[in-house]
Order: sequence, then C-alpha cells, then structure tokens
Amino acid sequence: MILGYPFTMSPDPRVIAELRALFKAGATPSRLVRHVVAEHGNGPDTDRLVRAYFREAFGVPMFRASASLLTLPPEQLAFSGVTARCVHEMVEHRAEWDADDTTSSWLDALTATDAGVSFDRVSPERTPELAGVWDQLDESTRNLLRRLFSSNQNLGEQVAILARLAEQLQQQVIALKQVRDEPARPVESDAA
Amino acid sequence: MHPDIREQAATNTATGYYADDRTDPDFFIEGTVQPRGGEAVLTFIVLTVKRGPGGTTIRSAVRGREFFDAMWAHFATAGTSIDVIQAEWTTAPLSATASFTTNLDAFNTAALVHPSLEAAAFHGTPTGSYAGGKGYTVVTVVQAVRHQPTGPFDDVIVQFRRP
Repeated sequence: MILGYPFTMSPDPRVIAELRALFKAGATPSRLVRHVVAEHGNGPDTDRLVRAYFREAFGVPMFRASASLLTLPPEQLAFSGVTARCVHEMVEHRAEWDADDTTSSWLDALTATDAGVSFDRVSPERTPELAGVWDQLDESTRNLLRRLFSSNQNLGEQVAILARLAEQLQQQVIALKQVRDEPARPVESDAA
Repeated sequence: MHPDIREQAATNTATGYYADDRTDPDFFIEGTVQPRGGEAVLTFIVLTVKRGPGGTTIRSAVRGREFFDAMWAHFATAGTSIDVIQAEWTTAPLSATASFTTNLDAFNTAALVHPSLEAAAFHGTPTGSYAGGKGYTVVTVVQAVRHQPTGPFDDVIVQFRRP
C-alpha cells in the first residue's frame, strides 16, 4: 500500500505489538523499520509513519532515520549511527510500553536515563577530588563537569544495553546455525 | 506564514505538528511535545536541504526559521505549554540523501570561538537563534560527545529554557 497525502495512517495496534515482540527478541531499529515497510509499503509518508510507530510503540519522541537507508549497501551499516541512542530511549521508556509483559528478555536489568534528567541529577561536587574546590568554580566550569559526569553515565548505559543486545543477537546466530546444521548430522538409527 | 508551508491540520494535535513544503514535500518540519522529567519538552526535526543529482545541493523555498515559526504558532494556538526546546544534533545520516548536520556544523565552528559550548549553541546555531527569538535564552548543553579524541563533536543535545 502506498500512503497518500494527506497523512491519515495511524499506527496499527497489531503492528505495534509485533514491533515490541521483535525488539524484545533482539531486533535492532533497522529491522523494526523493515517490518513497518513490509506491513505498509514504502511511500511518501513512510518516514513519518515510522516515527509515529517508534513514538507509539516505544516512547521514542523523534526517530531520526529514514527508511531510505535500507536501500544503501548493507556493509555501510547505515542505521548504526542512530541505533545506540534510539535503543537507549526504548529502554528508558520500557515501563510505559512493557509494563504488562512479565516474560524475561535481554532487556531485563537494564536501565536508561534521559540525558537531560541525568544532567540534572549528577553531583560532581560530591566527588572527593572536587568537593574542596567546587565553590571556587564558575558556572561554566560546573556545567562542563556536570556534562562530563552525565555523559559518562549515559554512554555507560548505552554500552551496557548494546552489549546485551549484541549477545542476544549472537545467541540467535548460534541457534540458527544449529537449526541449519541439524539435517546434515547423521541420525542415530542410521549410524547404528 | 510562508505561502509554501502546507500544514496537516487534519492530523496536527496539541502535542504533535507536521508541515511540509508544498513545492517539495521532502522538506518538512515535525515536532512533538512530550513530558520528561516533569517538564514539557519540544523535540523537532526540520529538513530544508538535501542532496540532488550529481551531489548538488537542493534547498527548500521555506527556511528553517519559517517552518519553526509556523510550528510555534500552532502550539501557541493549541495552548500547549513548552518548558524546554530540546535540540539533538548528530552526524548520523538521516536518509540516503540528507543529514541533520547544519546545526552541528555551525556548533562545531562556533565552539572554536565562543567561551563555552552553551554560548556556541546559543549564538552560533540556527536553533539557538530560533529559541532565543522565542525567549528561551537559558542554554544547557547536556551532552556533547566526540567519536574521535581531537575531532569535532558528533552527538550533541542542547536544552533551551526561559529565564
């Protein structure tokens, strides 16, 4: 289906549920975009629809990549630039979109904090090395230290999230290889 | 409002806005106001430049500020309160033909001459100018990340608030 102007397509609850399930199984944002395109086709309003899906399904305010990136050669890994921040936001809002599902997933035990909230919460002045000099610093320097502390926390969260996502994907590769290799194995009764 | 701005009145809401350039719908603005950390945060993307055939640059007839002003007027009419204008700039490509580096490039250039990143974001970027024009003059650069130790910034998040 090609979405025409004006934009009237709302995210489909069934597709939203599928996107959430895919993500919980380890799908990356590019895979989710591919799913939206498979469901709705590729037209002039596709990118807007993709953004609406990420907003509705995962609480991501503004998904910043176009489905047209899917047309680039796979080796360019074109979506990788938005993956870390996007997945971080999806984890950050998980309580809003995944509150009712109690099944375990790679997302369990992960935390993610909004960059602005993190900036407001960090307390560099409590660090022993800074406690004695904090009052002597101007506001610009204090902001620099807050930014460094909150960025450190934010990037640490992103690393933890991407590490678990990578391991989840590795486990899927192993499982798929086992399925692929199974028919080639000799069956016990044949070997006997 | 610029005559080429085509607002989508049927789907625009008190917390969501979309408009495009009627002469080329590839150019657009989309904004959403969401609660975050106890504040109403406006996040938006505006695209007014893209790559054409042969690497040429194609610009919208509508300027970024004109798109922003139209969005701002919409939220004002809808009675939507906005505590924070949040800008997010990245080197990651938006699409096969466009990226969002106009602000980031300006920010990196301004960071070389301004005494702080806040001053660079406010005085040196288009979004800083839009926000300042609406009275959002308190600037906080909450994140500024480089992918290379001595390179320019690759991912920046800036918040603009009223005094």
